Amino acid sequence: MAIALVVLSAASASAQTSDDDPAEVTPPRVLEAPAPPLPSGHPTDGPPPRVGLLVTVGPDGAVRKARIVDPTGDPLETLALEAIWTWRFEPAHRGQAPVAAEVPVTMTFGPPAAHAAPPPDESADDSVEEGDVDAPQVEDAAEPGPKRDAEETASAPADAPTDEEPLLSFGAAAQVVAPDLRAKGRSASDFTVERDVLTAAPHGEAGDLLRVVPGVFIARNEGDAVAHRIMLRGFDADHGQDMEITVGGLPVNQISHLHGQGYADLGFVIPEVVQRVRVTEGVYDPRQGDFAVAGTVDMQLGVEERGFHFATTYGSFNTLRQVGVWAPEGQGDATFGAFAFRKTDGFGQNRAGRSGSAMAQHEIRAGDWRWRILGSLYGARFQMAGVVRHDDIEAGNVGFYDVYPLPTAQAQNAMATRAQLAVFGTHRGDDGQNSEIGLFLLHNTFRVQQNFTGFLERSRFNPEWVGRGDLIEQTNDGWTLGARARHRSQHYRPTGWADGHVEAGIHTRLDLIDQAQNLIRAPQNETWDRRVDASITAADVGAYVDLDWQLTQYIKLHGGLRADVLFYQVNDRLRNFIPLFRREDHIVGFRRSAMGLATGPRAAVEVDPFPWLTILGAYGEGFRSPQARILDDGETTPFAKVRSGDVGLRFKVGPDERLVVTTSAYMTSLSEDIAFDPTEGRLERIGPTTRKGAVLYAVARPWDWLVGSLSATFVQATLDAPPPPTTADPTPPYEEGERLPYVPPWVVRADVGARHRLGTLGGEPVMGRLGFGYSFLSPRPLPFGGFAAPVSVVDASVSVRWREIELTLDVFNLLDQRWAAGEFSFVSHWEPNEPASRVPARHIAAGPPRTVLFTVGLHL
Amino acid sequence: MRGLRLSALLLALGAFGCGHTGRDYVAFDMFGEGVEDPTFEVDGWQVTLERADVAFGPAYFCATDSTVMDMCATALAELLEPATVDALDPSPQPLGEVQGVTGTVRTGFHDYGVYWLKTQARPTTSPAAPEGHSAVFEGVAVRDDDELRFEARVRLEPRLEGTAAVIGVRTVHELTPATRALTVHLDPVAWWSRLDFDALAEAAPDDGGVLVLEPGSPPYDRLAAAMTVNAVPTFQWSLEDP
Repeated sequence: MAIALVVLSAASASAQTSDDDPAEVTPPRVLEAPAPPLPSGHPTDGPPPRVGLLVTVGPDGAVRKARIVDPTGDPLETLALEAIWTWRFEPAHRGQAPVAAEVPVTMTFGPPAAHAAPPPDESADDSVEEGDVDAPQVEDAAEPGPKRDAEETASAPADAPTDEEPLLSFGAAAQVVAPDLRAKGRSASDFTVERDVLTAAPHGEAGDLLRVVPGVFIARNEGDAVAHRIMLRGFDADHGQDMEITVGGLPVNQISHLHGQGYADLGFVIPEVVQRVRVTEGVYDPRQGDFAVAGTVDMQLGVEERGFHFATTYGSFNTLRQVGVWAPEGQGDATFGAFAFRKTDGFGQNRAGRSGSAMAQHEIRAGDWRWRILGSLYGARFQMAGVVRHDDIEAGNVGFYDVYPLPTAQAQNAMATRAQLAVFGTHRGDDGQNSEIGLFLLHNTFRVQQNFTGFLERSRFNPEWVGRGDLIEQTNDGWTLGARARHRSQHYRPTGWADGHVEAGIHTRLDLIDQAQNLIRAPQNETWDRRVDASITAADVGAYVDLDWQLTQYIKLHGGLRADVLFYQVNDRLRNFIPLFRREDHIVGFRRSAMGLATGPRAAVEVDPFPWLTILGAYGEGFRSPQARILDDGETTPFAKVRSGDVGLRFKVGPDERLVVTTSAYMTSLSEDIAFDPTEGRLERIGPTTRKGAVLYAVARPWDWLVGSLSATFVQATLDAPPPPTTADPTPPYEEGERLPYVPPWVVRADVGARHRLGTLGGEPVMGRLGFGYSFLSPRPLPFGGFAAPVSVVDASVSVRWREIELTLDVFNLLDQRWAAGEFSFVSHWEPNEPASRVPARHIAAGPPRTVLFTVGLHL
Repeated sequence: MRGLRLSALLLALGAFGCGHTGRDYVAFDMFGEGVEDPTFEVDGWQVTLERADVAFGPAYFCATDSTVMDMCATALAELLEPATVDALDPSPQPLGEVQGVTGTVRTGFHDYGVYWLKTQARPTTSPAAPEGHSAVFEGVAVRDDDELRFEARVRLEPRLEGTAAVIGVRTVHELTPATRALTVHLDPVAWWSRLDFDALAEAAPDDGGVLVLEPGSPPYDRLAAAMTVNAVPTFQWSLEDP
């Protein structure tokens, strides 16, 4: 027979809120603590075994969530986890209101006699239920009665040895989990992916983390200095045109970027500081703004493991990565500093490059306000292999991982920089009232030289200048100044069965952009044509109102309206171009301004008939802003309107939601879609489109040391009307139900991660970790017929940690599959001395072959 | 093994989800044919063509209505490798395989075995071109007691890099996978009918030798104009194998 002894030390030197800062907080106290039985045969000599847990106590005093702190795989951990669910607490309080709180608990197993001593101080609450001789004795080190400011609470008597010193040696931090600033989730396709799932499989960079998100596939097909190509739920979002992406609350999408509308480069994000990813697939939340066509991704930043972390990675293709993370002790997860440097020769020809990033975030509490300052600086320059023709690969003219042996191909490269500074402030008032303000400043530069088509272009400036290589140079430099603010009301309770909040907010941003596109002759680096030379001023003022209402305990309604007014001013210095054969009768250039209004309702309903089942439905209308340079003077901005609907079920199985399964069906229609045109290296209009599909997503944590997730997304993406006629093709072919190019009907992702104690060395546990990730894309239809090959890639990771040292072996593309990160169909001419083909042909941009990286990490 | 099964299952699922983008790649054979009767009469001259070897290709068939070849950056069908047609043989002569994608063809652009790439400083002559020329003609014209033997070696170059010698030939066809063949009809009789044989006779050598049409001479230019503008080849699309 065993007894458990518990020390709950909510009095803490570093009590802190996880969300908003409470002014006055009383930590929870244990009321009931039934004992878990020790396994028969478990040795009772020696020091009593202990298990550390982190427990979330709800406002009702019940355990809401519990996890083992630094799990080792010891069977006692399972017993402790089972036992904790039977415990009852007096909840934490902010003022008079009970609030959820997260507290560390040490559950100590041992002979009853060893723990029968009375509490060492007078702070033990009489209300604590003491068991009989076979029951656990509970000590509550929390100070009863007076409320304490969470920031000023005194240290637990961890360093005050007594006869029962082992019982009190747990220096704990009470972390108050404030109620959510607003209800989480707007639809069945609203997912939050926690870090244990994100990091189950290896990820080379932060963008790769998105592969874990249902329906997402992401790859770099234009080198490591150009943004990922992202696919989400039937959208070939290209470089971000259909996905609103934020990192730490900062917008990543760039307005009217020359390389692609909504261009979003995640290269600056250091993956070690991404704590979780929230994805809203569809547009159902009034906070979602421009580019939230397929959905919104928000990477939330934070570092859970405090201290210093340094890691050096070396491996295939002479790849070297150095990362350092500083997460000062005593600060919340949100405070950290990090840097990363990477260099590589690349997995094939012409792919070498370097990148570096530094990020810092600091959280400051001042009264009822929590301020968060985020800054980062990033730069990358990589060579680029571009694309190669599939028929050339098959004929042996060029290798799968090679670049064409021509100066115009070998000169391909890209460089990008990003600097940003932001300040966000959050204020929490009484009864659910809260406010937020934010101000951010971004600067981006981008330059790419790439040749998709070989030798097809002709100079507009001099039509006799031809065949010099279609090396397109694009530059796009921009400043973004933005601000946002919102206020959420306190609870309104007009009736006994309904209550809720009203929120209103504004999002604004001003973008100043300079962009140019030229043709460059390599290796001389001579400009032989100029295609774009423009300056753009773009402003977006968005406002929304949002209702968050609860009707009985079973039904929740969310909904609101969003309106955005967009202004554009364009100075297009090369428009109204005068060809050589025409008489010069005006001065080249075209200046114009335009504005437009986009409005859209958003609504969602959530029904909770049982604790384990949630039924969700949502509808919303959003928009994507146009490329400014396509606008005419005075034109009412032709927004692409998106309408999105979603119904689904969410099942939560087992204690602590060990298994969560979500299934949903959705439909999204877009009034004006755009697709990548390799000829110009940018996006062109293709007409209205519709996506219909379904998602299955399951996350399982059957044991504390194992996590797995599986998602399968099906979509039927179709073109709803013939593409716009052009001089080159007055009647483009169209069939009812015609599939959209590049969209894979199926996207499947599976991740498994296991973390367990392997043994002990020098009295310290040796922890092992194993992880796998599997991505599958079904064949994608290509624009002129045919299909891209399916993608099936497995990544694996294994690591061992002892004390401060961690050794990790990551293998990407474990089975060494030959796969294309991008596959296109268009006209190119890469053989300068042979007749030029004008029929579209398949081209590929190779994905990385098997890549082995070894990492030595130090956690100090 | 289980991984392979999983992949196979997923591939099957992928195949289930496949549709198409409204286009298909197509391929079919192209043929060249000449005239049935090489003899014709013009200005009282009885002209008989004894040789008419004509190089054909590269050829592009486009959706555009425009005669500007830059409007055909993407072709619906093409024959890249030139071949020589015996234009005095009316039977279909295989020229090679046409590759393309489905769509509405409206215009054709082609060369006569001499093409000018954007990457080259001057035009290139295909090895398939007869004697290194676009066309080689030989024949005889007879009127009363006069006999005129003539021959011409014609070289037809595009006017600009990246364009074709013959541009914007109207040929409308809905190109589908059902298309089986394309036949180009070359009519040397129509080309030579446009020449002034009286003038040719005057220019003939005094010794009764063969009259050779020299580049730059009026009859040469007239013949070239006939081949590229005035009597351009015609195309016949077929849904059946020839």
